[in-house]
Amino acid sequence: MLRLRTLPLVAAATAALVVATACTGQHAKPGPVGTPSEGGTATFAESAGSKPDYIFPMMTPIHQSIANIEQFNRLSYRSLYWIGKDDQPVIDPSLSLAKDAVYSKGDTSVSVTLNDYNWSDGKPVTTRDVEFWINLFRANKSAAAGYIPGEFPDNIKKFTAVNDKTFTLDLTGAYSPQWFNYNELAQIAPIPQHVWDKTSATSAIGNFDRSDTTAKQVYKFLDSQATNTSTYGKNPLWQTVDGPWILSEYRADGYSVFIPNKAYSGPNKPHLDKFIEQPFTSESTELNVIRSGKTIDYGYLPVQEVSQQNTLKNAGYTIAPWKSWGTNFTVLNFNQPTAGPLIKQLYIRQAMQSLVNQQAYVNGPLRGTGSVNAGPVEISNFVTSYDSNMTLPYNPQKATALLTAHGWTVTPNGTTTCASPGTGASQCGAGIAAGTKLQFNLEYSSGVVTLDQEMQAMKSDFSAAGISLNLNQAPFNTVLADAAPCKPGASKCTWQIINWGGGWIYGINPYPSGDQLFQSGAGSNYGGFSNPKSDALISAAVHTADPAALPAVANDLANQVPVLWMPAELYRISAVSNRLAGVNTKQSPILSLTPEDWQITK
Amino acid sequence: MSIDLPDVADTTGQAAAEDRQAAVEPKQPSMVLRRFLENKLAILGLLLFLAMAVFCFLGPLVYHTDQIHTRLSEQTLPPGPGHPLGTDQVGYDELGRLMVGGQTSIEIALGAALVAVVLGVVWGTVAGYFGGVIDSFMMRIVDSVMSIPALFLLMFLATMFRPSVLMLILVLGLLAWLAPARLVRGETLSLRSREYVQAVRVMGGRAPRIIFRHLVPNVLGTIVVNATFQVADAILAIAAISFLGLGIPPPAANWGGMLSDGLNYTYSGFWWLIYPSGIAIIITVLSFNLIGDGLRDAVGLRAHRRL
Repeated sequence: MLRLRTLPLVAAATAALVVATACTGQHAKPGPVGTPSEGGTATFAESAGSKPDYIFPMMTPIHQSIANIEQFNRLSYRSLYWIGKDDQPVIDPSLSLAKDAVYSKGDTSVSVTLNDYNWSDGKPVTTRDVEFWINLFRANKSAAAGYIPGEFPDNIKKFTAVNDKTFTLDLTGAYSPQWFNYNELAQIAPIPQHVWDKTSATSAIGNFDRSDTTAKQVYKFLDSQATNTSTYGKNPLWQTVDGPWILSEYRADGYSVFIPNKAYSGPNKPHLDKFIEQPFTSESTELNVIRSGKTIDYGYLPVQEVSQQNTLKNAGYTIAPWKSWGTNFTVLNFNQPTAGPLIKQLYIRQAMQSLVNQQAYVNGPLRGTGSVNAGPVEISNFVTSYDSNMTLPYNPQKATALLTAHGWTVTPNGTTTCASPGTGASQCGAGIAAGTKLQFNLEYSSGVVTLDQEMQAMKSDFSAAGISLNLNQAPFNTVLADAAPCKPGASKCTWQIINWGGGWIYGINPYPSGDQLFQSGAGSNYGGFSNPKSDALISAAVHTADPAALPAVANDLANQVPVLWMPAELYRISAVSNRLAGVNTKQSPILSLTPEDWQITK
Repeated sequence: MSIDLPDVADTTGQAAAEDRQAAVEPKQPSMVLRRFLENKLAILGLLLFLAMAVFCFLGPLVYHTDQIHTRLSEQTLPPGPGHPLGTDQVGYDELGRLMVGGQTSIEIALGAALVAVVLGVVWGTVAGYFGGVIDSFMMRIVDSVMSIPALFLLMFLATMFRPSVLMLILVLGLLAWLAPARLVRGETLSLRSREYVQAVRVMGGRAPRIIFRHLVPNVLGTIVVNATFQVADAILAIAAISFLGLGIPPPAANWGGMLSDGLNYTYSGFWWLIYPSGIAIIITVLSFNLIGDGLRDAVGLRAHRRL
């Protein structure tokens, strides 16, 4: 799973607008013109205010973003299984590093055989590289965004390298093969042990990863190199890749230049000489650039300027909606000393959710597009519907009633205060003193027009029940850094509510079991939500193939409101230059890029 | 460290004498005022500013709008009945928002100019009066801070602190005091050798008294002119940081932020989100520039006649 920096544009109900044509298949027209050629440069527009800044393929929570993983890291480092075939969140064997996993012993053991891939220095990708990744992750799991207590690597009893190409994992119990493939194996990205297994720039290569103590040192070294972005283009560490692209230039603003990995051993060799990722501070700037000429080959059209679709089409662009596989939310911090006691009260969270007027956001900022999102899983094959008794649609009266019933003096357009402190059923709850004001600081990303409008509307809607939101904008990466999970009782924990824009995509963990986001102690459980019943339901979804398990999780989390659920949105309305051939307009549901398929036409 | 002009003890009699000396200094405010009022462009500037101030601060008393609650169902309505200037991207009445936004912009601009002028005058007169090492040290600080791009500092501080009216006043003021400090320091270097200053010193006047009683009043003409430009600059600075999304958070408004929001709809033809706030900024900045020019001419003429 990944945090999504979305450009919340025209979404599901795109029938009313340009995207309607896209959804009916017309998005592929007129498409590229001319004859595809070898060489040339293609430029991709990064999302406004969002830039890549971490290259090491083992993310910490503050670096886990689409910009870093799907659109930066994955160009150079591939995982065992590639998620996304056209626009569907399924495994694509043709781009995966490994063959299909084989389960045995009652699904307590799994065997994986690697395909024949090489590193860019000619050395083969082997099971030692897989082990290296696992060992580093195991020794540094507390720092890893993907870590969930009880899951990988805690559930790996034994790693065995059968040979250079095949390894087995003995598990601590039985797991759903589908879940294990999608959410465990797919996140393993082999890394070059023969180049990276060292504790400093000058140390020799060794088997340091095989001891927890030295594995921590290796991780510390690699993390320090990855956070030193000024060295990206020339650091020899990052020149050894198994993906099709090598980073050759990086600037502090996120401008990145990739050149082909000449030794790439995968199926689709790059045709371009260069692939550039261009940063932008705002959507309007990006649109100005894309209108002004031919410097952007793969950009996007901001939703507020959707009327410009014909202009872009006439300028030689094909318009294509980009839908992500994920969910959208605003994060609540359960562990913030001031706001935590309030957020821990279920009735307050439910009152807040009842004040989120999702339909108005869809009709307003999203311009009649998008869709209401009740919980963690979009309506799909995984969850076909939500139990209406469990969801919390917009209902300000209910919000007021919930607060009043729990001892609050509700002051519409003012600030509601606790009048009845205590832990009784009709009292405010534990840790809430008399006179406590129902107010929160809400930080959100700057640069995205629709998010700004949603947050303004939310502040306005919350005032109906006297819940005061103090809005504050910051650049995306600042918001991301601020959203680091806080430990209970942490004194330095400052953020209360955060929206980085767009919520989450089920990227490297496409099975939406909620374990990475909402299970107690999960690495990406940013707000620190913890509920034994929710944990049990999530565990059932992870360990069994029962089709009812996942809907049970979805309904429970919809009602528990671990985050404030926000409307589902498109990631982008892509504008793809017709001089670019090979772009699949059925774009990746986990928002990854495959510029190795692209060609400049002449 | 050397101090060029050491103080001697003050006495009541000496103070009275220096007050008399100061009293003979040619202030001639009536002449300045008369010359200012003779300048038609300056009068136009004054009238424009007064008009904007009345519009922003008295307008909401007549034209009532809700600038707290969004109305997404009414977003980006074009000008028409009920909304003479249309609505913005979250349904706020644009005319009412222009008034509220103007209050913030003018308050911040005036506040920042005041901070800049006060700090600049004190810094500049102290440096200019003492001269020598103190002057060098203080002015090198000014030079150093001036070498840092103001926009960079603004962005840095805006990300460090939650933007508010007070914070922006302080930040803009603390960035803008450098120019008046240089200006005042230069003027003080000239004034400190004048006879009346020498006389006060001979009579035992202390440095603080000389600075605040005799030097500061005599650089006020220059400073008032500079202050008007500071106000204009501050309005543009607010617009710049709001354009970068680092202005005061909603539902508060300011013209720069409104203009920035409107620019997101440049190609959609929602002109009412762009022109009104843009024109308001232009008019206000222009008014202060005209006032400043008028004051400069009036003060300059006074100085000329004094010679």
